[in-house]
Amino acid sequence: MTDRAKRYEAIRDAVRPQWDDARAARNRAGVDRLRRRHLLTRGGGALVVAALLALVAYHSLGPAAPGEPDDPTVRFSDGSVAVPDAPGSLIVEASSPELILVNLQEGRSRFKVTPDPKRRFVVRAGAARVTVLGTSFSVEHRSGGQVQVQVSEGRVRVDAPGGTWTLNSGEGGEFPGQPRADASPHRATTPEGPDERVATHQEPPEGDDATPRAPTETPQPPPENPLAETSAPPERPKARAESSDPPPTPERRGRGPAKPQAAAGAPPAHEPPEGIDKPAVGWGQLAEERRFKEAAQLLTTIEPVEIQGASALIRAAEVMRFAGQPGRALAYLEAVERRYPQDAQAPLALFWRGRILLRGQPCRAAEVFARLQRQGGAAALQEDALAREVTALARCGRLEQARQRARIYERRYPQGHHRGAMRRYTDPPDDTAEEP
Amino acid sequence: MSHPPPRASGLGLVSVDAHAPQDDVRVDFDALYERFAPYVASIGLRLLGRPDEVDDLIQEVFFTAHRKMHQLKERDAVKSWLATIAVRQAHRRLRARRMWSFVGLDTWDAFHTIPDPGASPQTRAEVIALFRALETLPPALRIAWTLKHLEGERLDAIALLCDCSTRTIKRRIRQAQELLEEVWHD
Repeated sequence: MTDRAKRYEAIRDAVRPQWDDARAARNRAGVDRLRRRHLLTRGGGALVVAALLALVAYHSLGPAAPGEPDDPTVRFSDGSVAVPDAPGSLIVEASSPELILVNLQEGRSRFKVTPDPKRRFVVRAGAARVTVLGTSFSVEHRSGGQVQVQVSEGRVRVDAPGGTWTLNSGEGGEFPGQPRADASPHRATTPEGPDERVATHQEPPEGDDATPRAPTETPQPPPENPLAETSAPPERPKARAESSDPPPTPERRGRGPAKPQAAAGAPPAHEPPEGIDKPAVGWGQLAEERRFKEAAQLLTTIEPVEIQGASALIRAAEVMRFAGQPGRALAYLEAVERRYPQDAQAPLALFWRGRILLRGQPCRAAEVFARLQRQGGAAALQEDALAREVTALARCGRLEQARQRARIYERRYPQGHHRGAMRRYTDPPDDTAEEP
Repeated sequence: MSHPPPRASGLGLVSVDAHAPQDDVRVDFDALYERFAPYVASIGLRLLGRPDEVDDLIQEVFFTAHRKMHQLKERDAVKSWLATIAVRQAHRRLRARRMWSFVGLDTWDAFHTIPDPGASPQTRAEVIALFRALETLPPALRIAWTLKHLEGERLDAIALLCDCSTRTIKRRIRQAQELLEEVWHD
């Protein structure tokens, strides 16, 4: 063993702890203390986790299960709560991150709605519809159809036959459930005077269906300060029900142009509720006044599914078109095809949809134009549909198919308006041909 | 009654219960503590060099052992397993101590409590000088050197305890020796 090793061994022997039973017991107790502390910490952590899980589970509960007789409270996933007076009087018709739609069939219900700009909370009560803008309020649907709305906090918008109102905190009002017999269903009196409440829609002239205007066409300038006018609006060929109103009744269909209450001398549809501020204006009214951008903004708060009637849907699409948002018109046009396939305007909606798609999605546009031709009807649209199908196919890159369809066009419509453009496709392929 | 600490005669595999089957890894914790606590105290004192920290280390080692008893795969490896835990805990404490010393908050200076009171004055002086020098080493180098020269372990056993290669252990011991020679003239 070297000297160094001997020195290290001597040091090693000199460095040794004094170990006895007392020290052993003291350290053993220390180990047990650490174990107890660890168990307490782990147990406490588990309790905290369990409490958090219970809290999350409580808050993530959706609407209460139907048929709970003791607790009529309906809780929604976003934290909103509805407390109807009677169980079963409140029906949840839709519950999604974008829309909560409840139907108060009868009686009274209080609502506490969590504000969420991305989600609309709508309460239907008879013919009235209350759109919540983040608030606490109550709705009572009376037996006679009358609807009483009282706002505790925030703001709601009430769409009822005769108009649209905004109720602020502390305000309330009574709204008719059905249009009164002695009043025009199209009109309502506001605190500032008579006001047209039903949108009218100017139909394109006969034959114009065959060549709809381009979506990017510049709208006519709106009249100056139309709301200030008290005289009758210009005559319209037809009047159509605004989408936010209930579905048009048979009596309402085919009515002539509505005239102002003041001019006609008829009583107002109903008096505005006390304490109500300036009434809100419907998107149809705004469109009628050619305030398309404002109408489009209002339309974004309404789901296409809530708009009733092919005409109203097409009108909504037109609003988007004139507001410079043709892409947003697609949803309304698709709704026409899906919900009103037998409507006389369905082919027009389909053609228009194809034109919008042609600008960015030519392959889908080609399918739409082809479907329009397969469905037949609207003979005036068929020639244009075929010509645009050729253009769409060429833009989609399906040149051979475009050439075949162009030859079909030449055979069917030898004197057609688009024969010059079709010739470009029947000749050696040239996908730079201009749109017909 | 005072027990002499077990002599560091290498990390030989020691059975807790010599009559138990080899594949039975159930260990009586009390028996484990009674048998190996002095050994942990010994290795702890040599690694840490501070008698007042040894009790904390013992408790931490056996607390960890109790929690991780299910990880013990070989009953005969109990001693090396405990040594591994002790080395890791000691390394952690040495790192913390070094950090405190960097900011001037580690003022411990009771080196005279390290050597056994029965040792000769010359040995006591050498122990004090050695542990003063060891305080200047990085923890990894200090542990490798201590296990080699004060615990008398083989290089492969040290590599196992430190979870690194034998080559690394050799390098650390060499570096530690070079640093020690600057401050401790053995």
